[in-house]
Amino acid sequence: MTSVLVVDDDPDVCDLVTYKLEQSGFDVRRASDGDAALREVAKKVPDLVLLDVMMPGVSGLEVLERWRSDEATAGMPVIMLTAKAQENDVERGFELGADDYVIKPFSPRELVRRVTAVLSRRQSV
Amino acid sequence: MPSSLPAGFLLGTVLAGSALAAGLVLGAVAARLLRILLSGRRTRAEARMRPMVLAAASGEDVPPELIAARGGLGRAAERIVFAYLVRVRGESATFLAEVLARRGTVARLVRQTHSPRAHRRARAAERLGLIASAEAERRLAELVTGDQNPEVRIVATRALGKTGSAAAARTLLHSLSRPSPVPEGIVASALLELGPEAVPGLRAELAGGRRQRAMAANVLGLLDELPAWQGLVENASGGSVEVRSSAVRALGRLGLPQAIGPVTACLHPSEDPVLRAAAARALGRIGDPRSARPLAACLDDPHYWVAHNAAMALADIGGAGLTELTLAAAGLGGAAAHAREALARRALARGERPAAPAPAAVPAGQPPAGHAAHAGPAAGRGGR
Repeated sequence: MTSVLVVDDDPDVCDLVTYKLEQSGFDVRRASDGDAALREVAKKVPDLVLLDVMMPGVSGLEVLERWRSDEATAGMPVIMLTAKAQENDVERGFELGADDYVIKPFSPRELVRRVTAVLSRRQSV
Repeated sequence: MPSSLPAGFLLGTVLAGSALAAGLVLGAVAARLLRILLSGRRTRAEARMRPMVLAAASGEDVPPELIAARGGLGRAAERIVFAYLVRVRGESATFLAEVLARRGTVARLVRQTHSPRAHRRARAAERLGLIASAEAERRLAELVTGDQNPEVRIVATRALGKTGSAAAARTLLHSLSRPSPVPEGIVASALLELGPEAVPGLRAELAGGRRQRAMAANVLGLLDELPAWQGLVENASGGSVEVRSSAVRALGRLGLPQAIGPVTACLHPSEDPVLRAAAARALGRIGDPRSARPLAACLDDPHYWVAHNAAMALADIGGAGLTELTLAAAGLGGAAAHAREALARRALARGERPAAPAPAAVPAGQPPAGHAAHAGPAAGRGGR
């Protein structure tokens, strides 16, 4: 089963995303902040990460930067979750190697489609 | 010295004080325990309702228990639904709105918007904005234009912007004609929140009243609505300064080279300085080198913002614009000052060291600057 790590400090967003992904057949783990995300990925690298940009403590962009500088996670697919007003973060995320982004408020169905699309692209490369 | 108080009185006072203190402590403990009890009850209610709400949000069959829930469970269900409505859009938002409609929540909120208490009307309006229903939109429109309390009108305006309804754009624009309208910034934010849904209404209002045209032009520019450029050009060419300035600013944001002619026409010295300043800025945003000469002619405009914006626009254009600035910077007077400021700002923004100001040209027969007792306005010290 394809594994996805959902990283967001908003428990409601985590609930919505987790439910929709599990409904679509993914195995989902959750992390509520950057440090927890780093620990989860260190335990086992997921097939894809959904990563909130704005989090307390270590931000999503910092976490992404660390993953990209580590050989074990440099190629791990990452989709950013960002608020509408944070377009600069999207640019920075792409510079750091994010694969796609989803703006909040989001459509859970569209989010699952993007997850599927990113995974398909990675598999075909 | 007064005689000592009777022992009985003292004892009574101590006992009363102790009883009061004990009562306060017990009361605080009881309140704390009650909060814990209620919080636990709330948590359990939410834990029970959350899976049903998640299922509904995902388009699965809505459990009858979710629709029928009342009391603590009903409140928990609605808390979760509204929390999710803020975070989702698309079909999930539609599914959740349907749950609320079936529960009678929409009808209840509409009733609450008739409450004599303003804070209740405002709270109900805020929640109605999350529910994309015709009934909700209708009532919000009434509140925007008809509620006596300005705070309620502001909340209703913001809520209407969240509905995603095309008709809401016209309501928001027409609210500007009300005797005590909602602040324009709030109306603009609501229109931006509507996004592409607002465009048909905005384009129609480019032919509307003065306030509507100015707001429509402004928001169309912010929405980057390129197809509206011709309507904006028409508004830039005639009408009030407010409307023309908004249209010119929007054309600047769109950045279309075909707007250069109409915008440049607004630089004419016979035009209002507010319009000329807006036009100068817009030409900088469009960034076409053909604007360099007309902008250079504005560097010695007596109105500060016209000259300042012209200088900044020339810096933004680069190339031909920088040439004009360099030429102007070597001269005297206000034009040179604005030019030097623009060049210096550009250099700083690029992380370069600003060039040292060129020595001012000295007319024949006059001592060099620094040698006269009163040198006049200090050339090269930048604008104000």
